[in-house]
Amino acid sequence: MNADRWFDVALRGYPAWWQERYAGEVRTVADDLRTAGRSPARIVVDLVVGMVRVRRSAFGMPRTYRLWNSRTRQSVATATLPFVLLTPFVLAGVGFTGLRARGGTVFYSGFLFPRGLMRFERTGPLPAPPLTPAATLIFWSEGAILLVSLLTLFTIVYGWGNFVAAVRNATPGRSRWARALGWTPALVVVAFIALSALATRFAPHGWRGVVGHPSRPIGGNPALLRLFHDLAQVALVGGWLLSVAAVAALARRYEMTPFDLSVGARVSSIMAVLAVLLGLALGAWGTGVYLQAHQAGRGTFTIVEFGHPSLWPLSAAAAVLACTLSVSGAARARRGYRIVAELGG
Amino acid sequence: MASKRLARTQDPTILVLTSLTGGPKHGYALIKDIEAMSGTSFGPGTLYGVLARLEEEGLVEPLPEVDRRRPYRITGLGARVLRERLEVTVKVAALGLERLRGLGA
Repeated sequence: MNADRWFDVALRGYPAWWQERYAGEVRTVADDLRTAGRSPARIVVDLVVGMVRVRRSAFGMPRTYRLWNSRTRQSVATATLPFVLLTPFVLAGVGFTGLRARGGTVFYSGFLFPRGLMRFERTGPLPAPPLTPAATLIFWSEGAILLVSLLTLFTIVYGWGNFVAAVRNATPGRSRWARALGWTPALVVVAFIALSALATRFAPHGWRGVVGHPSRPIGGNPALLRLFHDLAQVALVGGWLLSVAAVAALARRYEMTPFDLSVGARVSSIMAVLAVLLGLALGAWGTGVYLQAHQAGRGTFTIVEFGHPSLWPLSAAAAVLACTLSVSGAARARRGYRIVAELGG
Repeated sequence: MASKRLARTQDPTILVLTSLTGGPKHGYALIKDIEAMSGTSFGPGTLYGVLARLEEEGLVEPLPEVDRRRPYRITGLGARVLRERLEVTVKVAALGLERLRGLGA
């Protein structure tokens, strides 16, 4: 690809209003600089950095109701959706945990919540040895992650309920498909519950075992059980992604009332605070995991284990990105809502 | 190295406004003038980010386009704001230089 093409691609990343106003001039300056000997790569990098700044700050954006309404909706989506997308995966990575004594006895294996924190010793056949300091840090930070996730779930349900109402207000007497699309998250939950219930119908009625031999299931249909169990998982993960995409598409398309935007801005602020709290808890959790892996212990302690501890740097990077987007999106949403309210509608 | 880093911390809005006190200029002329004046070389993305901001705040205004190049000029408000900022800068510079003389540097 030649320099001209790169310049065009970089300029297409700017918002439409900016392109309309400045793209021609900027393109001329870029050509002049290249003719004067400046490296095209340097110019393209500067254009990309400029694009990020313009999208973030919206300096020079005309004060029209339509543009600012759109910007506020996009900001609310930026503040909420990446974080919403991340939370279940963090829970899946952190929540499934095991507790093992250094000697090898496993005391607990499964999902941490809602079992009482620090009461794991009741789940094992023997009194559990004490937690190492690193394991204590992991344990408490896991508790914080689960608590923040629970609060996030309440906020998502509140925000989604208001969003469905906002779509209804934005599409009076038309676009039934849009309203139906708004209900995607609820349909996903219903599909998941239905598939899980079907899977349960094909579960064994009991187990028959002889000492020294593996247990055998009594009744049920293992093939159908497996099929519906897998379908439920696919419905949950795929449906979650689909729900986020549906909400993003609707938020992008339909203009919302200032009242609905004020609710969106409020939800964004709550989500930003929760994102920061989740980020801090994940940081503490990761520190605990690192310390536990590097501690030189003597005697018998209980340590915490995870299915995929190597995924922690990736989840931490995703969490930092989601936190940044959430905090900056919430600030933009508040500013956008103030301007929309000034402009009326 | 440190001198280059300090040069980068110069406020681009002051550089653009100061350049425009020499008369209206289009984008490329602004970049060249600022480069000659301060050694700072702006790219088009950075320059137009600053210009959009200054235009929104009423500190500069665009003139009619000539041959695909639109000149900008500083407004009365822009000149007033620039004067205030430069006076503070001059005070700080004078004080800094005086103290440096005291240090024998």
